[in-house]
Amino acid sequence: MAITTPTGLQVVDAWRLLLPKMAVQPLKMAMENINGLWRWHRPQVASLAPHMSGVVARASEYHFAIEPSVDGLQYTFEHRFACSGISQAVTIGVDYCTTYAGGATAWTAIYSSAETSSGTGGEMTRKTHANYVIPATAVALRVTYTAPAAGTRKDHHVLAYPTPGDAVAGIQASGFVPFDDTLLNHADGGAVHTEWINRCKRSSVALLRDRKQMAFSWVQEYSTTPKEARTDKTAWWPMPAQRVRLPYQSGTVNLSASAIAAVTAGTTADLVRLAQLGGPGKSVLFAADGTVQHQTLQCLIDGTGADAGVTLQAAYRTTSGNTTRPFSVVAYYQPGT
Amino acid sequence: MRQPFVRSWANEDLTADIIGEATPPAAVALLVEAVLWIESVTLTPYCGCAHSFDGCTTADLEERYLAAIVAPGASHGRATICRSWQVAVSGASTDYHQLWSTAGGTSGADVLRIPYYIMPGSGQVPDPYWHGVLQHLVDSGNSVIDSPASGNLDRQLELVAQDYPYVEAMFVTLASGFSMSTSLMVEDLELL
Repeated sequence: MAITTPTGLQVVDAWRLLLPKMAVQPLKMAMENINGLWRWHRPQVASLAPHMSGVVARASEYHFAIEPSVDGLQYTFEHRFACSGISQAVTIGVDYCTTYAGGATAWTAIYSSAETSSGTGGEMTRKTHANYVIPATAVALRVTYTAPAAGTRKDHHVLAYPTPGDAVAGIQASGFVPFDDTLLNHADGGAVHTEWINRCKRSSVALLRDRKQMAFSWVQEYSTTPKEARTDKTAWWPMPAQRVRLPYQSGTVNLSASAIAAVTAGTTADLVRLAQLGGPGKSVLFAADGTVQHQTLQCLIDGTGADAGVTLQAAYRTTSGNTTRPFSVVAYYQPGT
Repeated sequence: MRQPFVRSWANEDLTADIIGEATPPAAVALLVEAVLWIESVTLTPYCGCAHSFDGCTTADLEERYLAAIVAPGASHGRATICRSWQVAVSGASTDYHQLWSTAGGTSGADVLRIPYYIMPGSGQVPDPYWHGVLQHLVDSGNSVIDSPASGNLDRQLELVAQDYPYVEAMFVTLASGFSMSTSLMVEDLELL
């Protein structure tokens, strides 16, 4: 009895599919690929390049909405930053919350790691922190970097992707069902079940849809004086547009978009926007009320083949005499929606 | 030879089963369909996340290191760079973005150069600026030229085609936004 998880995609040779016998292979290979997909389907749950005013000599924190797997997976985080001084101590922290309330948020630590930057001043430092669980109930993450003792720091990029272990018995919350080869390997020969054929699709689609992919990100420091914080823009103040690349996709896609923003005073409604440029030009609006705001942005994919995608642009505005501080705008792609 | 099979998910019925009856004949088509569903989920490229950030306004912002998780089977990638600028009346014109992937080489002739805008007229140069009123999206090159001997060409980014996903580190200059995704896949899966 074994739930075997291969170390990568097992490719069924073409000759096995031409005139297959009623034998164990290639069905067993295909079924084991279900288990492999559990371990190796790793689209990014977070990919952020912080929007900075310049290099900083202070601690920084970034808040953004998260849509993790419902299966409570482990994730691996990669941080890229650079310190002007050599071998600077920087503590990196990642926290989550189940209810976001800005500065009053009750954060729960995912991990905190004391690191040392590169031994060459100004050189990019990469730190990898593997296999930390983001609970299915998490709605936002906070990433923090402490100030270097000397010199400055620049935050380049944060990447997070699922790194679950081997498939285990049981039906997952996502609907994924692993494959156990006991019956197929039995000496008497197990019958090919209709359910096995269907499981190849059901389980793979379950993972495809459960592991949402971060498709757009704009994030800046959570502070009272962030770089983007205007008082004089009652008309929309757009940020440069950017291309979400969706290779080989076509048709309509519904992106799950979220924003975190706040104001110094005044009304909060409809002060942040995420829009598709071109196509039907739809947009969604978010309140800047210090909570995680969520909308669904319907987009029409343009382009073809590997260059298919949608072009998005975030923007914000103010009410007269008041400051709007956007902290993050992110969007997730869930295939098939 | 087995060519990769990718799907456009919006055009698929993700809820219908492969077999709708309890005791179908053991047809080859059913086996093939079962195999292809898993392979297509495995191999269909992950979306290229669009990152929006100021990578151009001041000198200390011009360089950006990033990374992307690459799905199995990807041999090459293309990037989309947003450039934004204002027109300055003095200073040197910015000639090009630099871009590399680790797999393609990070120095010398391996570094891609994507031409920037050269403004006509004397005394007018594009000055990279985050909130510049002039913005443009440009894709990196479409030609496959691996390990160029010289020239800092604008070409497809080199990735590593494997049977499992991996993280590809990248670098770009003078960008107001950046995204990268698979542009070519391995031609024969049996070579993975």
